[in-house]
This record gives sequence, structure tokens and C-alpha cells, in this order.
Amino acid sequence: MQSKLILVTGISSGIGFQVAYDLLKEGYSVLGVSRNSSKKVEDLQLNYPENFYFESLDLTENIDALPKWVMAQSKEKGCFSGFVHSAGIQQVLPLQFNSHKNMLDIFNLNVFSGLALARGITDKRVMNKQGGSIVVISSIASKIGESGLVNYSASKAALNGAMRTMAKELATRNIRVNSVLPGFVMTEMVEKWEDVYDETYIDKINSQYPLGIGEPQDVSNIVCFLLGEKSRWITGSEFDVNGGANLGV
Amino acid sequence: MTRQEFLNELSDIMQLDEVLIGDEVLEDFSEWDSMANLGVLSMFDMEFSVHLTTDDLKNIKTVAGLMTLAGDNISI
Repeated sequence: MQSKLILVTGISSGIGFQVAYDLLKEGYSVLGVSRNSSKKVEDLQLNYPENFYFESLDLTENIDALPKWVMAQSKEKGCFSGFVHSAGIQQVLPLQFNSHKNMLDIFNLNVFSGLALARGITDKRVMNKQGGSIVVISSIASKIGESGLVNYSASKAALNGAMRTMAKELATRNIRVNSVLPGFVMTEMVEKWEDVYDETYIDKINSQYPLGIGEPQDVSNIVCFLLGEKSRWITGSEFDVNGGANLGV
Repeated sequence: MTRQEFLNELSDIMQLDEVLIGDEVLEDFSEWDSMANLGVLSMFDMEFSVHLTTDDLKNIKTVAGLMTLAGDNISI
């Protein structure tokens, strides 16, 4: 029987956690990765002791080692059928304060670690012979400008570009690759920037989103669809999930 | 690079379960595809500063033949 093991990064909170939670409910096995554990992750370990594995890992520490790390995980846990790159950080920083270090901090986690893991997971010895699915969590910021998000938006646009090339390169092996572009979703990452995303900002966003601000569940729903058999004819596509935000004001 | 290191690296590029021993015919492997070709070109470029082309690879039939292309860069 084909394995249903999915690697999910950024597992400790937000979209990554929600995806892992929903996949486990659907009967998948999940290898979750994040720098630190969380109460939510501990609960998953308690509730799904057979199907949920957690690895604490700083994905930016040794990016070139990540493909081998995936292979080692596969030898222990079996072949993978999918990968969701949800790990990401955001900076809100005016352009005039930008620096190479700030750029690298964002790109190392948001882009480079994801590409290294994608390399590992698509190794013929690691991915199911029948194929699989990769979903990268991009952002509405990859297409719509927002002040202070130059590095973040560039990193998410980079993911979209990489996604299309991977989709083309891997299609012959029935490995599908897509990206999901969430709009403003209430996650712990947003709460971390509460000085920026204050009540006034939230009210403004709410007025720009015909269906209101989203929740991690809204994003997880499409990610789970893209990982499953029902999306078997979909690859190389970007999916806007944003409550209608791209309809304009 | 030693002969064994070369074989290990080539096995990785072709993503083989078993490590090559050296006398294999490349075309016997379904894994010897265009991406593996590109991988070998990159390996020669990065490891040996030898710039090969896909045409160079077309004339190579065996793993041992690939090692010949590396010349003195591979030690016993």
C-alpha cells in the first residue's frame, strides 16, 4: 500500500500546525518540524502516538545538510508522499533599513530551506515510487505590494517561481508541486507583530477582504486537497486563498 | 577524490539504492536520464573544475568511462 507520510515544516503554530492536525485526522502520518515544540505539538504527540513524529530542527542552521536529513528520516519512517513547506518568518521593515543580513534571514528559512527539503524529499529513494505532492505556503504578498514587506514578499515570490520549475521538472515522476497564497490570516506570526498589526490595521484589512480575515483552517483545507488524490491533475499552479482580497477595493 | 568517493557521489546523483561498483553500463539504468546527466556535469564542474558538455557524455558507455573523464582527479 502506498505510504501516506507527509513532511510539514513550521509545525509549532499557525498554518503548519493546522495542516498537520487536519492530515492526522484524515489518516495520514506526519513528520512535523519546527525549531521549538509547543503545547499544541505535545498534544498531537499524545493524541497520535503512532502517526505523528516531531523533530526539533533549526532549518536555517545547515541548509546543505537538509537533503541527507530527509533521507535519514525516510530510512526510519518509510517513503514520503508529500511535503508542505509552511515554515516562514516575516519582517516588517522599511526599505531604507534593509540589509543583506535581513534579506538572508528571510530567504534562508522561507526559501532556501524549503528548496533543500524539496531536493531531499524528491529523491527517488525517499519519495513514493507512485509519485507525490509538494505544497509551498506562499503569500498574497508575492503578488500585491505592502509597505515594509520587501524581503518577505520577494521570498514568497521566489517560492512561486521555484514551484513552477519544480512542477515541470518532477511531473514525469508524477510529483505535483503547487503553491498556496494566503491573504491575511490570524496566526501567532501576526500576533508577534501586534505593534504593526494593531486594531486600526486589522479594521483596514477587514474592509479590504470581502469575506473577512482568514483562519489557518481556511488555508489548511486547500493544502489537504492539494496533497490528496482528488487534485491529481493539478500541478504548477498558484492558489489565492484570501477572502476575495484580490478583487480590489 | 578517491574512486570510492566518486562511485558514492555518482550513486547519489542517480539516486540509486545500491552503490555502483564501476563496471556498470550506464544505459542499463533508467536513472541515467537527462537530470542525472546534468548532475554529472555539475559534479565535474564543481569537484574537478572540468567543464564537460552533454555531447561529451554521449560517448561514455560505462561508469568506468566516466571515471576516465575525471583523469587524475580520481585517485585509487
